[in-house]
Amino acid sequence: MSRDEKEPRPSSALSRTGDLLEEARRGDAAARETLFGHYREPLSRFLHARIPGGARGLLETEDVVQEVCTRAFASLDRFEYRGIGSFWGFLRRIGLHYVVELGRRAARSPVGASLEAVPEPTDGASTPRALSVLIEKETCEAFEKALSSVSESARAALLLRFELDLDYATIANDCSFSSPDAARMAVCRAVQHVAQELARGGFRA
Amino acid sequence: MADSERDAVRSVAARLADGQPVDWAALQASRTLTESEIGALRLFESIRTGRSPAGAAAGDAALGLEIGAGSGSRVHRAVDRALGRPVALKIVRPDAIVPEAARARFLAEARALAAIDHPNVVRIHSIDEVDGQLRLSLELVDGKTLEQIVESGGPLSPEEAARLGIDLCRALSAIHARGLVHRDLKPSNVMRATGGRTVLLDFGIVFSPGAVAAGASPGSHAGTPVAMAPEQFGGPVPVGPPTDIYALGVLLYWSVCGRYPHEAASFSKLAESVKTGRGSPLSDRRPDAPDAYASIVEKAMATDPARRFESAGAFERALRDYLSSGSAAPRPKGLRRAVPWLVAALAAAALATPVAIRIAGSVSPLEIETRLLVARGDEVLELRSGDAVRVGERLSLEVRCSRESHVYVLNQDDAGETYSMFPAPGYAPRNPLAKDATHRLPGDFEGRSHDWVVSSSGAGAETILVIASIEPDEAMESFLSGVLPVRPGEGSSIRRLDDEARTLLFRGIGQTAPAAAPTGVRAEPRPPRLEDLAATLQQPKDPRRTTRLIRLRNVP
Repeated sequence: MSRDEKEPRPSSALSRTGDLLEEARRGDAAARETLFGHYREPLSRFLHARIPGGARGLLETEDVVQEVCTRAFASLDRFEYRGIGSFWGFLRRIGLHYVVELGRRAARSPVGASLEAVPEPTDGASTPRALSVLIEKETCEAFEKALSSVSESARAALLLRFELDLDYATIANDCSFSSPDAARMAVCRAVQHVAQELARGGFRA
Repeated sequence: MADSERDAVRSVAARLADGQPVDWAALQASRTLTESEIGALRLFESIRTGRSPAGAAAGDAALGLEIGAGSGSRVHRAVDRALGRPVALKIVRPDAIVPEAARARFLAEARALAAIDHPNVVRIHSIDEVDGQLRLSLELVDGKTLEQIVESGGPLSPEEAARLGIDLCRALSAIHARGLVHRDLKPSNVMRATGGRTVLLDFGIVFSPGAVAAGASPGSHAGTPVAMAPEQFGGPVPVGPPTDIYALGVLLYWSVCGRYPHEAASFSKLAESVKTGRGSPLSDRRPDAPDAYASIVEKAMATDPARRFESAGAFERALRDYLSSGSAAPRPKGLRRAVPWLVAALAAAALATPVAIRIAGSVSPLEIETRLLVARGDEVLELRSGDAVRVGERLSLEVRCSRESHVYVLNQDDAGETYSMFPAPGYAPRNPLAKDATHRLPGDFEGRSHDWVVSSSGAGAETILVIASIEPDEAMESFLSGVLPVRPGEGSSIRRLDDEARTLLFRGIGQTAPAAAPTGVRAEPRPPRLEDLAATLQQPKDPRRTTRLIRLRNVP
């Protein structure tokens, strides 16, 4: 045999979330690592754009991800699992709270006191300029607000599709839609609704 | 918002949801949408790719989530801006154990894919090198692998597996016609696309017997051991097209059994089992599989390559003959079990029982008996068209099939509220329903048996449409995407509402409840009428699908 088996595709890996969660709660360290490992990349992507400008000089995104995972693990006993979407929502909430906390800390620190302190970009795609940091912050807030205007199931479907990149069949199963097509329709409608909400608020990219 | 504007937002939203590229420049030029709307929509693209909209526009390929990985490469979802389409971007891992070998395999894979243009083989778009890193741009196939399908839904029926096998035989014919051998045909490398197309993936160890591919040799243990042919474990017989035929036989065995024919604790024991052909016969693991199916699979898995099908084309013909000749019928043992009930079903049909259905297929007729039941006090009564139901009453449907079947149950009230009563997410059983068993629908939710709860009140009517199909019904799946599924109810708030509020808020049979907990959810009106849908589904007349309407009266 000349090569290893493929690692699980994201949807199949994430479908083990419930089992891994139970094992992690029972103290299985390997299960905990696997569980958070599955969510590390989307969490990193989610948090990267939300870390306040002033805090960027102090922290790497990975540090933030690690802290969010640690906090999430500490709160597992209070979390009721109802599917991948509920766990992702749980991680998102902890991430957003931590980001707010970082923003407050950064505002109190000398680095966060001035936009000039934000380092110059080395990669236009991933290191935003000072202005774009502000835009991103406003964008994230506007997005979360617009997101709250759709139903819980539509919101979960949209986030699973765009932030976790899950296929429609998995989303249908997780969000109780009758079929992958129904999940697709819910996601399409949610995108449409959120985009229109953003546009109504005068959103500027 | 103007209709054209709304349509444009809807269209872009659909493309974004599906991961399709959007031509933002053209959209801006068309002036159909405002800058604000375009900006809001672009935000979704940036969420998926993890880049800011500006950054994504600057890159040649916006890299998304990793969707697969092997020892030598990783595969990412990506949007190739030069080509203007979503792609699967396969990238050589910088930490590959033998980078030169990984690079050579990569090039061999690219050349092989470039030589094949077949709907059942993943397509290559391009190969390039960025910063010394080879990148293969492949068709992005949205769907599930066979491995995921079987692991989540259980083994396939022999008929379904045979149809899959026909697609894969065609893929192998195209591959072999180019003088290539895939060598790694296994469930995780077979994708069922969302639209139903079967696609063979991963040519990472493709081999050309005529011109030895770099990074691979005919005698090397390349492949996945449990799916490898005897000649892949070494020996005098060279690897060639029969090797893939063997692997397809193993795949068709696994598809209906969920297990491999040869299982062993070590590589050497597995090799011995494969070489001596001492695996578990398919009929032992799947006794209900027709003999004809088992014979085809066993011929493909013959230890001696000369005794296998002489080509993928011959293999395909055998599978087609199996499906069309009537030998796809259940084994005799299963038929004997089914006879008493079949007689009962035919008798019921002759007596015009309202909910008895008979599907006369061209080869093996499908018989389905259904009984719509209502629980009244301690009694369970059968309902027929014209019978009355009251709000809060609990309904269930008994279904028994002579063949594995896909069953759909829809409900619509006079106001046009439509629900998918079955299938419903989270409930067991799920489609397809197993044959020769009486299924009670909607079934169990979280381990508790549920009923449908009538939530329409007043002097109206309920229409229940039952559709049965031997295969997954695309028209029904499409229709279901626009209706609400039933959901498990929790409380009994409906009883606290006055009649007017009840009529406004709770109509139809939109929820289920454990044995004594009726409740309701709100639904939006969903045309068309079920009578029209039933008529549409029956035109042209399809013997593999039938419909039955049951009209019930609502009484206060």
